[in-house]
Amino acid sequence: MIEFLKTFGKGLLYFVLLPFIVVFLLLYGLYLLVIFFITLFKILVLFFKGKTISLKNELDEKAFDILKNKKMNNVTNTAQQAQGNTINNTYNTIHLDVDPKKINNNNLVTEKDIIIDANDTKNIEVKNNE
Amino acid sequence: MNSLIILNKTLESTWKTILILVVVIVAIFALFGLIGRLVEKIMYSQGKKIDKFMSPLILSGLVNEEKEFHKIATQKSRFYFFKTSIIPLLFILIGFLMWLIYHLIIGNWNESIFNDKTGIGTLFFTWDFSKATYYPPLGFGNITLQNTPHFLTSVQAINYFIFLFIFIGLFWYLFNVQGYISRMLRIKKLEDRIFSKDLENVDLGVLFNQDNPN
Repeated sequence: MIEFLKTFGKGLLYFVLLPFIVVFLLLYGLYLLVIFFITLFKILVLFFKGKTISLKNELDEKAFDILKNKKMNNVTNTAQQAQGNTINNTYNTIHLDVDPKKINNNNLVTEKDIIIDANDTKNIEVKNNE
Repeated sequence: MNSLIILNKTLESTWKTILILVVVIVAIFALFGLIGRLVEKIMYSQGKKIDKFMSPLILSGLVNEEKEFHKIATQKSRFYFFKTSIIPLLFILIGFLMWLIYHLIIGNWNESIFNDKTGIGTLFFTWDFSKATYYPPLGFGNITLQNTPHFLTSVQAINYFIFLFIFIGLFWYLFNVQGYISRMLRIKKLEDRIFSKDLENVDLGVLFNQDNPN
């Protein structure tokens, strides 16, 4: 009911203000028509000078480069953190010291190092080749 | 007694008329309200274009002053308005050129594209209200039907196309004008939010927790 009354109130307001809104829109449209022709003139002048105007300018390209570098730095930092000296097994909370040289990014724990069965807490197989 | 019955019937029909009028007026205002809400939603989505234009510059830290933000955002908004208004203005120009060439050929500059004999009015019912008389409460008389919908099959049918081009172009252009106004309002709102020195916009709880984590 309150929503309907709000809608009705807004409708009453818009009905009363409609002529003013239309006049304002038409006058603003005329002002923007002038802006349109000024922009057209600028573009033509720059075109004959060999330059172009577009939505994406040098500043935007610089911004995209900065954001791209930031993203790549974040990815590198994440990969470096993954090559850290401790591995936490969250199921059994066992802290293991592992030689970082034996770890690659695709498979953090190789079969030659340690095999932990997370479902079986009693029988933990440890194969240590050193 | 008969006059009382007639008065009673008249009063009943008047109340019914008033009730129907009230319902119609409420429905009209409610309809205006719904159309207004739709326009507000469209303006909000049009204004969001500024977020898309300016977010890389803000997130990369290249723009960190209010004046610079306003200048760049306004430039982008104007250029976007220019890009999107080329086609509607071309439509209006084509409609105008058609009107000019047609009237140069036929030599009759008084022919209207709106009336019910040579223009878009031929497609609608129209009535002649010049000799209308009023009977209270809601009675009207001497209104004659002037035109029934029909298509023009002569060369005057070109007036349909003139009206169509100009109407579509004008409506599209005014939609873009509304979009520009929406973007300007959004720029003002973003300036207040991003560059505000008002501490109400800052989450002081987070700020103090960062200083004193314990």
